[in-house]
Amino acid sequence: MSLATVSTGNLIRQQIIYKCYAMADLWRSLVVIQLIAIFFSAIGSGGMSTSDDMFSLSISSFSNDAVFMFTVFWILVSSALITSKGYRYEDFSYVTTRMISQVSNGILLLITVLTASLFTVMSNYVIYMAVYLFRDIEFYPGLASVGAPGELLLTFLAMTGYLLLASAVGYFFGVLIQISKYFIAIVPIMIFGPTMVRPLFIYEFGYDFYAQEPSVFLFLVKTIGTALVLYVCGVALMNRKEVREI
Amino acid sequence: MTVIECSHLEKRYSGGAGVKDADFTIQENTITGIVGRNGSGKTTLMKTIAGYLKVTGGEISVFGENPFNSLKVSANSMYLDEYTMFSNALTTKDILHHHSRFYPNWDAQLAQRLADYFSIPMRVGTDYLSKGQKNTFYGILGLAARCPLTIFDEPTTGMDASVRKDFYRALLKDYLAHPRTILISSHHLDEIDELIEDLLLIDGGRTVLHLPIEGVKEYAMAVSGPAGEVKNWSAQQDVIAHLEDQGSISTVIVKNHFTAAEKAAAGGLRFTPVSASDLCVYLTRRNIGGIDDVFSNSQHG
Repeated sequence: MSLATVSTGNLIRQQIIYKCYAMADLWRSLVVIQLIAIFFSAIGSGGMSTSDDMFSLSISSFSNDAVFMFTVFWILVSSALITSKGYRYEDFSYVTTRMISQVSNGILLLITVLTASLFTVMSNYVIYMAVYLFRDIEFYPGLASVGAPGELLLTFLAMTGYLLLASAVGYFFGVLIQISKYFIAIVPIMIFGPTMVRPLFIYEFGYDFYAQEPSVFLFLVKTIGTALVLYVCGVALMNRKEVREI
Repeated sequence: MTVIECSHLEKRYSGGAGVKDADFTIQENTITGIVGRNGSGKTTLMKTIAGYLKVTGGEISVFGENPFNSLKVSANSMYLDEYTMFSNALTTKDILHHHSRFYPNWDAQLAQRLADYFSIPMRVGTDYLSKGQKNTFYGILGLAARCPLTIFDEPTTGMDASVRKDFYRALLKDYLAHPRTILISSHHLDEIDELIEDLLLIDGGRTVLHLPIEGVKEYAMAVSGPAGEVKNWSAQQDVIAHLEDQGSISTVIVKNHFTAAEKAAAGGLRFTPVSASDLCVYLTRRNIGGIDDVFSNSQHG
């Protein structure tokens, strides 16, 4: 029987197509988690009220911040899960190498992040509609909710940056746990250890380095750069890892 | 063409067991049965060939390459055992479909016909199949993919007797129509000795025997008779094992390379052929004695 010759590029494509089907739960959970967040957002977050003898005024603000936070958490967990044994072993039930398996994971996560960002941006409209339909209030839309296309693109890019960062952190953490279970304990110590000395260390660093960046371009460079470094480290660590070893 | 070449292959786990010294070559288009006791290293050896595990010593080459992280080996080989994993989000029908994208020789019609014949449910995930159905399904994948190297690790676990028979028959028919290299491990050599061409016996992580199955069947003889005569005659022979004495009758297993004259000299001793599966049992017997010895010093004794 003659040997089959296959190209790496084609196999990466086949693996991604496969993963899109096999990880249907991933997509399903995104929809569920966003719907929950939208529900909370439509109740309203933050607000103020004041009253006098003659009148009372109450202001509620609605935003998709909750959707965004839920999505960040979701991508963090999903990216870690993708490195787990079940998914890794499954790749080897078909044609793959460790490199192909990981590159296809990376591209799948990128697609997932872009989809999740798009959904999050769009969730604004869902919240807007829900409030409009179910709450008997006067509505003053803000810039971001029904903003101009440029505004939406800006939101989309910023969310993509944060989600990519969260995804790479989750992926790298997942890889470390696959290398040794001790990392479940070591990583939190490494992250929260410095906070003993300076309580808000992580928050300050994240805030100064990423959130305070005024240029969207530089923000994307920073987040994508960090994500790439973490992802490449993860791939390098996993490339020597055995599968189905027990 | 040589498909697999192992020289002093070693794969140790941190726990200890594994493969200690595997030394053999397997030629293209042969069916080789890999036989050995529990924990002898069969699965470790097969997973190393499939490129799942990293070797810790010696050399291995599959299709001329180190299988670990080799795309060529992955594309042309397939390892199937009862723990083969598929996402439960996919039905068995989906899995067949995805195989057709990965394996260029995939025969979709054969897969479908076999699945129908073995009554494999097509609309459920693999977790919902029974153990026997699952292994039958993996067997179908292995047959229909027509990989140049197909490795079945205990493929018949959980199958009932008739499915098992049918599976081996299907394997043989498809092999004859589309010759390829097949490795198959089993606890039941009796079942596969009609199927396999070569036998690779592993014991304690070492390859003990690698012969065509015909050679294995003629490898040894059982010689029985009165204890004294057997002892005298076998003194000059390669003795593989002494069996339990039955009263005054004693039996030894000797290598079948004695001359006709030596056989004639044996006089009243009885010579009987040793089946391949019995031979494997004798060759891999531990020196500490048989199961009877476990009981002989206890209260049962």
